[in-house]
Amino acid sequence: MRVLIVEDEPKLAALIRTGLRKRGIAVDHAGNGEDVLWMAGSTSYDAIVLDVMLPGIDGFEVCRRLRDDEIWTPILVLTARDAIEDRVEGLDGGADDYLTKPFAFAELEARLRAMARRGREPRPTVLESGDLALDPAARTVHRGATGIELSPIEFAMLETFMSRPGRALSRLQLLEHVWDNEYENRSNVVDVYVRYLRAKIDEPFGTDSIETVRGIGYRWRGNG
Amino acid sequence: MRARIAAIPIRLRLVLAFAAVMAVVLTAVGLFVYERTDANFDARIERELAARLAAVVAIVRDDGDDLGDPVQDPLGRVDTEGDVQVLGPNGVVDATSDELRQEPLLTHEQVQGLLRGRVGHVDVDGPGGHMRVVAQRSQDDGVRYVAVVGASLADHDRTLAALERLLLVGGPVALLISSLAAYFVAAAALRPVEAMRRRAARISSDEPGRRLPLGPADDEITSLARTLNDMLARLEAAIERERRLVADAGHELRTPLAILKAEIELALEDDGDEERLRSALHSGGDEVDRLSRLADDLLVLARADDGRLPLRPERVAIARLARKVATGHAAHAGERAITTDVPASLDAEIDPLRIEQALSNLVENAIRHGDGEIVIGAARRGGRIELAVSDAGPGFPDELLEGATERFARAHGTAEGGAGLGLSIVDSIAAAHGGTVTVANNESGGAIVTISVPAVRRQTTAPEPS
Repeated sequence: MRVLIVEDEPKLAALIRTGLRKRGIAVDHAGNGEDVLWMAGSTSYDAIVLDVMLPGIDGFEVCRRLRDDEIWTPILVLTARDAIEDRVEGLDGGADDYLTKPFAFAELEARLRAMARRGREPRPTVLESGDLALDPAARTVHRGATGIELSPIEFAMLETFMSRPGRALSRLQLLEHVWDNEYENRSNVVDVYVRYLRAKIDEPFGTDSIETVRGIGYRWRGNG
Repeated sequence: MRARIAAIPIRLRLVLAFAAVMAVVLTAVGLFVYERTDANFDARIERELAARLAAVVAIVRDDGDDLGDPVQDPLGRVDTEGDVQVLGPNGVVDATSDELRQEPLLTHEQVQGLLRGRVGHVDVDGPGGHMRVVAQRSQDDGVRYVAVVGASLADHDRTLAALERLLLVGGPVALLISSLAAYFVAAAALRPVEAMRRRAARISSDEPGRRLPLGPADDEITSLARTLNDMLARLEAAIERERRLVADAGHELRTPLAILKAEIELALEDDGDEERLRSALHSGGDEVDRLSRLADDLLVLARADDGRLPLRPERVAIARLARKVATGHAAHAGERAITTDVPASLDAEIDPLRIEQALSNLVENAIRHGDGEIVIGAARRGGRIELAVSDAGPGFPDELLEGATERFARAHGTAEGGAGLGLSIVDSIAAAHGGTVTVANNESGGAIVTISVPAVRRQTTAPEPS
């Protein structure tokens, strides 16, 4: 396993490096945000350990830029800032985990391994399909520059579609992802909401994102 | 007594004061009206009696009759209602307007009193009721007689009695009604105060954004509410500052703690390697120093906030102080020179330890963030001493120039060291001396921080909270 440590305090960086190397983890070090962007782009690390208070661009911004560059390396934010707002900002900005200083090496190592297992699959913070964009953290949907108002159910259904592009989803699958066990009325509610969704995201724009799959359910075609 | 009055609720106090003034006014008005009415009546009766007297004298003269003859009819003409008598020299009733009443209206003494002018009139309760009587001496054909005329006071008495009843009943009623009105007006006037009280009771540090309600009128209560709201805003800002300081201090403590913990963990792992252990202990020691410095700095700032930064001012030769600071930092300034530019004669009444600490912080900053030669300068400007530390480095970044003395203020991109407390401590020390700190970049671009303090300490000045 090879990780990139981003830490501006040289002493702490050296210690983390020593500690992780002892555990058989290869460690590179970057002292500022700019370096991270090219290093993470040119080497495929298994994980990045990122400090927030960095000279130049800060850790949260580094995180966002990496994700914008479609670098999906798992990121663990290691910081002295532990306020809830900070954690939320970090995680919504595309970080995968959060650990506050001071930390124990055993925990740092375990978290790095857990993140490395998840791999570098794209995990965009904003789902995009054609000119349609859905931001789960901000709970906003845009088609081009036009904002679209969705109810919570419609939003959840669109999120389900957009995170599984090109796959045929049965009515049962959609039900399971959007409604919880409390919901009993399982008649044609999926069809009703697909109709609502089409009326909001497709009809006004002359697009056809949701394809009907005869006998099964629906498929997200996206750029339709 | 004063305390007892002060203990009465303000609403009641207002009403009581109002009622007292109202009672005095009502009584005065009542007495005035009563007296005026009485006087008016008296004047009218006086005029009536005078007219009758003149008529009686005229009748007696024109009649031509001897006084001995009854002149009942002519006298009756004067006023059938009135009482008129003509007395002979011996006080015997010669003639009267009412044949049935031969009794003299007045006693001899009363008549004598009237004639001698001792009294203007006599009020008697005669058979005809309460009446006022006057007398006048006159003579007809050489015969002296006394004319006595009376007028009924029934009207006068009735009117005044009615007026008295009216005042005695109406006055207290008016007093009561106006006092009640005053009570409600006072209550209405105090309602905004009550609204403010209720809101104030709910304001706590949990919801510092809340404010007192402002009334629509631009009056004392609204301006009080506005003043209190301003105070709340200042307190809120202070609480916010405090909260941020504590949070920032917590974050600052975390980095050295993280290093300490990592050092200890790693040292425990490689057992036996003495060299490694030794270096871990050295590093740990450094971090403990860093933590103690941070703790000291926070303590100084906390004291300065309370206005309790203790100063021991004495007369200090600035040149020697500056040299001490310069040599003290020479070791870790590397190849960079630290020079002093201070007139030898310059001295000031300052706390040498605190000012040394301030200069040290500035030199420390210059070593860490600046470049080139570091100069500690001093000069006298009027009654003040200006101490400046400058370097030839890149200077303060623009975004830092404004709030450089704020706690934990650090330039974006400052890589190593420094919790951002140095300048705010310099600021606190300067403020405790009654001075100021100016942060600027000089013409060549290097940073220059100037501390300006009074050269002579005023005995009475308490250190101002920063």
